[in-house]
Amino acid sequence: MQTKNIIYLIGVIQLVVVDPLMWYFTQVKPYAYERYWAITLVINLFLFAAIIFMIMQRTIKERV
Amino acid sequence: MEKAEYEKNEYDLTKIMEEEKDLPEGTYKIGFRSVTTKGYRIDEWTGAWVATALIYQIVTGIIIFFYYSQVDPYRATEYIIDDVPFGHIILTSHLYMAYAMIGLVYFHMMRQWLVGSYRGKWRWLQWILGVVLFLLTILTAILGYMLANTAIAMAALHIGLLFMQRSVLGRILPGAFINWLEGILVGNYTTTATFSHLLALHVAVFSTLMLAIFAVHFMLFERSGLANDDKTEKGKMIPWYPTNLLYAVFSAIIIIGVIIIFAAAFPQKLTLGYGSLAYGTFPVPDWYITPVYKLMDVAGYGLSTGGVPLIIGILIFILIIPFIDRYHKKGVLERPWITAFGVYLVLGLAVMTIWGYSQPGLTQTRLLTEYLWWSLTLISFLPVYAMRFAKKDGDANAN
Repeated sequence: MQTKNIIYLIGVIQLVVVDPLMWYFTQVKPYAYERYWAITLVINLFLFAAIIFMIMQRTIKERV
Repeated sequence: MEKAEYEKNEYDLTKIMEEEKDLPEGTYKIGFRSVTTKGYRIDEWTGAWVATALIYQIVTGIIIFFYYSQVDPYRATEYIIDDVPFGHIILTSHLYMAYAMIGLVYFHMMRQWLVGSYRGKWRWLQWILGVVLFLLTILTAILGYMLANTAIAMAALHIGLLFMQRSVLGRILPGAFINWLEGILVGNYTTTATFSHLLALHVAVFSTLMLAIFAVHFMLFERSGLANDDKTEKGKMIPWYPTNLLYAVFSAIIIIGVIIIFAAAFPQKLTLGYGSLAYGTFPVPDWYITPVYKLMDVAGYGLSTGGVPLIIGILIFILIIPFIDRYHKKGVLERPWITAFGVYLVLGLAVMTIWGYSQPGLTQTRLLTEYLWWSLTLISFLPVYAMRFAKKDGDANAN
């Protein structure tokens, strides 16, 4: 699979799975699940890290 | 009509990192360095991790600062943990990132020590500023830990005051100076004054100093470049923007993510407040203070051989290591006694931390102390010299 498509897939997972969960933990049931919210936040951050890592790999490949 | 030069705006922000040409004469140029692929070796990034921790501490610190009150610090801390939205995660991650920062600072220092990157045109200055940053990190951590007004925090404050009065500092420096320092630290001893002073020192004085010195430290790094011989090769350089920046952001996200997971899984429990009935509990300080604490048990409070002059001596030694290390080569085994002494310090620190944590406040006999230090000396020096001998022997046989 192309890097571009993987990045799109990660983006879709963030929007469809992780973000609604974060929204649920803060807006639907505020204060009750702060710890779970923190963990979903970290999952979201790690998905961003994966995207950044792939972009970085590509920029290195382009230059060298 | 043609626009004048000053009327033109550049809206393409990706060009912001492009090298500026035609600088006026006498301009002092500092840029972010490009590196070759060698620069992506993971141990070149220990400093970036510490910087991540510093930035995270500043951001979470500002959030906590809005909810903290020096009038009733213990209640304020309880309020942050129980009532402020996401308060316990922010406060706990602030604590855990402080731990991580201290650990990373030790790791960063150890790496530079072993690689010998403190020698060079401006690198000696970078090292000295780094040691100052290390001290500021520890002091800021201790001040932050006092701010909760727990029994243990106040024990730490009182021990700190005793140190200033009774140790070599208080006995050699004029009394008026120590009184003045005490005035800065605790004011007139009322809770509000004490915590106002501690808060000011923690959030304004020490943190700002740390940020300012870090800026110079980082600027010097961008001037000198990587410690390993990273020769600039035409066509092989990877630009700082976006690749280096992406790498830094990537590692920052990983560190922050790990810390937030720990903060969510193991939220901090506030220990007993100062003035509550804490009978039968023995104060054990945070792990980064235990080595000093244990050194006091082991070496005593003597004016010449006690713990305080010992710590000051070690710190001065670490501070001036760029001028002591006169070896001609750079490798780990090419500078045997520096390497061995580095290993000795790391081992000593680890042993004192664990020992201090398991047996706090237990005075040791002279014999046990001597036995400990001499065995540590043997353990650290013998393998380094043996490996050096083995390497030389191998090289000789190969020839």
